[in-house]
Amino acid sequence: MPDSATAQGLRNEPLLVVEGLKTHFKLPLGMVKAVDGVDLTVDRGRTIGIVGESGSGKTVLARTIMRLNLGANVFTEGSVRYAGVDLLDVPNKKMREYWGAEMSMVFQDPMTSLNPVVRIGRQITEHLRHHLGLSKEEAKETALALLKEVRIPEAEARLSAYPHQLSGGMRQRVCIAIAIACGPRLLFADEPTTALDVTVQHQIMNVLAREQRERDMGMVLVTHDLGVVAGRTDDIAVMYAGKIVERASTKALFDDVKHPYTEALLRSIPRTSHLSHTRLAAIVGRPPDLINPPAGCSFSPRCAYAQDICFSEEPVLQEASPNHEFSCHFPVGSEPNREAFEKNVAKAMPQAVSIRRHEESLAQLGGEI
Amino acid sequence: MQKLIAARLLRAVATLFAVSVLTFFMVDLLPGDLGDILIPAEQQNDRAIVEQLREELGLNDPAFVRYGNWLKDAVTGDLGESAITRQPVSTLLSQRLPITLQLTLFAIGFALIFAVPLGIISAYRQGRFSDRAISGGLQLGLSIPNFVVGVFLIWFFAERLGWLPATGWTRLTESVSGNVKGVILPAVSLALVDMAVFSRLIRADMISTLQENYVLSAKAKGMSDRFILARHALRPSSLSLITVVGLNIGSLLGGTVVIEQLFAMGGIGRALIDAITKRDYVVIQGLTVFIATVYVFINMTVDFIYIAVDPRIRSGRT
Repeated sequence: MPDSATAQGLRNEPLLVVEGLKTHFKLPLGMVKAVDGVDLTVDRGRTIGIVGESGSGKTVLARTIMRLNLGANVFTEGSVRYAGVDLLDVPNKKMREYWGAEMSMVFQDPMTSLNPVVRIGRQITEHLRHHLGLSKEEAKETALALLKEVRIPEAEARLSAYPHQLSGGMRQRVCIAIAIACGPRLLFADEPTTALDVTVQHQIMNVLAREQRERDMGMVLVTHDLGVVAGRTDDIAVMYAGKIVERASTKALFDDVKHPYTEALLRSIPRTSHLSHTRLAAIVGRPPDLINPPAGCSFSPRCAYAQDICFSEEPVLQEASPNHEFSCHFPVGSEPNREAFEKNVAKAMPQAVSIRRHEESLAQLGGEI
Repeated sequence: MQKLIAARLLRAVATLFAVSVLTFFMVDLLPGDLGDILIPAEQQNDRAIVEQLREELGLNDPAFVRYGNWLKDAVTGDLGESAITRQPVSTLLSQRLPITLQLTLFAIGFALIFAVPLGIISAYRQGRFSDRAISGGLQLGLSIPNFVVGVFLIWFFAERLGWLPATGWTRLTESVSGNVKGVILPAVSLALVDMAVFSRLIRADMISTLQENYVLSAKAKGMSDRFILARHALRPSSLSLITVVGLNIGSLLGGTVVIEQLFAMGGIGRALIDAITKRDYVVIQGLTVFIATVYVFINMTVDFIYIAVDPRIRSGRT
């Protein structure tokens, strides 16, 4: 594509447009449909949260978009347009010009994503020198500024430290510094706080949010914790079994949950407003088998509202309001939903009974204070 | 850090002491002693002669007294002298060690120069054609005994092509090129097996390193595969290699009897075999303790290299 056309694309198009993306892994047991038809848009300077349990395909989605799925057994379909270029068509060698420079990723576990035998300084400077052609001195200056920017104390001394000499939170700050070093326009954060202490999680999220804002990056925040994304994303996409089941602006999603899975995720966050000994509302069952997903709605075996149709007919994404989509036959808050729930409680369906008990336990203990 | 080094040194000294005690008493347990060798057969029945000699040599002293005497001399570098040739063991060592040392270093050097790149390529192309070709070739190298390789090399490079001498060793001080030429064939014969072993080690460690998250993060920074292999993956993948290289240097320095014999080079291995067949107890004892010292020293060096390669060991973590 000629440069002028690229520039044109830049002005008119969102930063990232993912359409019909599928990522399947071929295993001896069969095809694992880790990502199975995902559409996604990230605008410049906006943050989108991708939420789901372990095994819902959110990490694979992020890695597929960045073309970081390694291995010969990976099959990808669809399109990932970044600034007008379909990344899935970009040859491997050429991807190196995007990685680190245009888009980068903060990984889940800062304990293992830094090389234990390489000093922090070199890990921050090597791609600065590679992408931006900085001299050793310039790169060191930049690295120092970056460490200060992510609020690492005694930055100068840290440059010559090894990763094991830093705490988990400090290491994740270093990872953030590495990710933003070359000024990427798109940042992926894959469960950036999952491996950290709760007190540190908050600080790390603040660092990420500030960098995102100040550098006007598009950010894709992958997490299993709706609590983490609550105040920090513009939009949220909820993933289940490789598909997006609900997508909305963050406010709309929290105000008006439509999909039972989203509701279940929200309900499973323990709240300090609950009295102690309130039953934890865990989601019954396990994420589905991605090789042979259940017929109909993939959440149906675990859903408290599931009726016959849910086991045979897969719901499609429909609009609740502009910019709020969901895929469910019995959306939360609707009359059919309430009826379905009562039917299932009457049938003693475990997942429905478990929710009823949770509600009762809230009521018995005096509910929310 | 200093504490760590001091502890390692202390351990080395303790090990050496234990080795010297063990070898001394094990040699002592062998049937017969110097009296049997030094006194001609026809005089063996003359008790007076035998007793006089035993008394002179101190052979009638209790074993721990004899060990004490030996140790007193040994710490000053005097390992005693051959009962047969009257040559001090230290002189023997100084004649034979350069040969063995050079052979060892060349063999290990050849092995490493080829093994490291081959191992890296194998790991990087795991399961592909180049990996299978390399692994197959090395397997072949591993399964041919080194003396067969030696014979073949002599036939090809010395007999057919006449490029390199078939046997013998030239002192470095006499002729540098002669010295190097003489050592190439035996060193290559020795290197082949080590090369296969080293390369497999690097390959295995490298394959597991390449699964590490930090390799993926380096890729996500846009670094080239070559850079990642050389600057991120090689060092953490070299720890088992370092251990085995250390052990192999030790065993090569302890003597490579067959190859030394084949190429007519009088190294440590030949010296030890000679001493054993002639029951030259003092030489056996001296050489054994020397070889043990080399092992201990190399193991210590390996420990220090570990520390240099993996900074986590410095702070007591692994």
